[in-house]
Amino acid sequence: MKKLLFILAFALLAANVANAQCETIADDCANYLENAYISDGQIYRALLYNDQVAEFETTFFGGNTYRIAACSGEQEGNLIFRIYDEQKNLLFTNADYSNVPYWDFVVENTMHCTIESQLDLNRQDSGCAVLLIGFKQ
Amino acid sequence: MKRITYRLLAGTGIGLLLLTACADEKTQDSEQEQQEVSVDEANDNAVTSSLLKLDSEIFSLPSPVQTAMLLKKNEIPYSEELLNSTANIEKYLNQFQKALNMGVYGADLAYLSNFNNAQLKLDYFKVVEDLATDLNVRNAIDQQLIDRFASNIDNQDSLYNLNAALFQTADRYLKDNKDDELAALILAGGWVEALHLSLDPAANIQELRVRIGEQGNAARSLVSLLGKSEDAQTLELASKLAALASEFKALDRDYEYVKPITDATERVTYLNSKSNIQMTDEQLEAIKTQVGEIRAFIIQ
Repeated sequence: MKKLLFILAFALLAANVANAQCETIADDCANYLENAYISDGQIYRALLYNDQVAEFETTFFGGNTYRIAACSGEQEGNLIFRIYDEQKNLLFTNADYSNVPYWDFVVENTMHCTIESQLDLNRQDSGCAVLLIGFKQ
Repeated sequence: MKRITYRLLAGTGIGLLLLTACADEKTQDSEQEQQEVSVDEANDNAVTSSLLKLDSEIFSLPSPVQTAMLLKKNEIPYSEELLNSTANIEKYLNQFQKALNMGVYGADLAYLSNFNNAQLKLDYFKVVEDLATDLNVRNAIDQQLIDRFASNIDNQDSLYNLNAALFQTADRYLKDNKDDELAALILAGGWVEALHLSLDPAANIQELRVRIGEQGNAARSLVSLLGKSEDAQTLELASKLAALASEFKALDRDYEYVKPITDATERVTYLNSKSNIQMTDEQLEAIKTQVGEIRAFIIQ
């Protein structure tokens, strides 16, 4: 019984640490959207370990400019993100630009895209990954 | 490489919590080696459970603020009868109704940001705030954000930003607290209301018609996500959304990949691919009918 209580207490503590870690990352990441970009109102986050890849689909509407911010850990450049179109053509990866934490996208016609994120294992091997999407006013 | 499509931090049990506690930069000492045993076990647990749980998916829906901006761009005149009356808040008694209608009122608030009616904006902000309180997310919302809303009531750009910030705070708080289903319902309510607000003018404005036609992926995402719920009301909503998704699926859409152009100096990439969607008046009407039924189910 004591052991169970200890595990539960540890788990609760760990949960708080996890949330605190993700919240700090999300706060820092939000700074990349600045005032010119309006958040899409969502926070995309995943716990990544080693070479795991988190992905989700999104729609970029034509005639808009979007900013994607990608963050993990305390330093810039820990998170790699890639954007594919619906035919799986790679449109962009920040890995080509030193894992820069944000990038802008001017969208001519509406595109259904998949966004993948993955830790740069040279910098970090586990942690909370946060992705934010903003659109220009 | 292990792919964890749609796997999220939330709702994955003690093992995943251990993993999170252990997660950090690559500067850890030998204690980490012991912890990583738990990490592997935890991760296996996380992946297994995430296949079953609604709260383990990442999905994206278009923002109602973006729709409001498009309506503004097309100079759509104000129409109060399109809004969900604030008096209806009395009808919303359970979490399902409150979450959906927090999204609905949030979309209405984004729409109202386009017009000069300070009192109405304050009224809608109040119902959003009340529902946030009922859903236990009010405490997560910074009081400064609330205060800024009142002081920027006539500043359209600020209202867009504050609206987005408020709903992002709610989204984050609910995900932190393993209430991903509620977070999804708020987004769903906002998405349906934004569609509703743009359907009437879309009959005569091609840009709006196209934007509506481009919502098919969002509809399918919602059906996939909410369809995994164990709640009867949520499943009923998912069933209604599935009928709407099938209307979107019937639309003709073309897509042609064009190589993007990147300007590294400016940190910008131009996505130049071509897409086109065709929607007849009959198809628009069918979508409007489905959205009307879903909205009635939500705000009833």
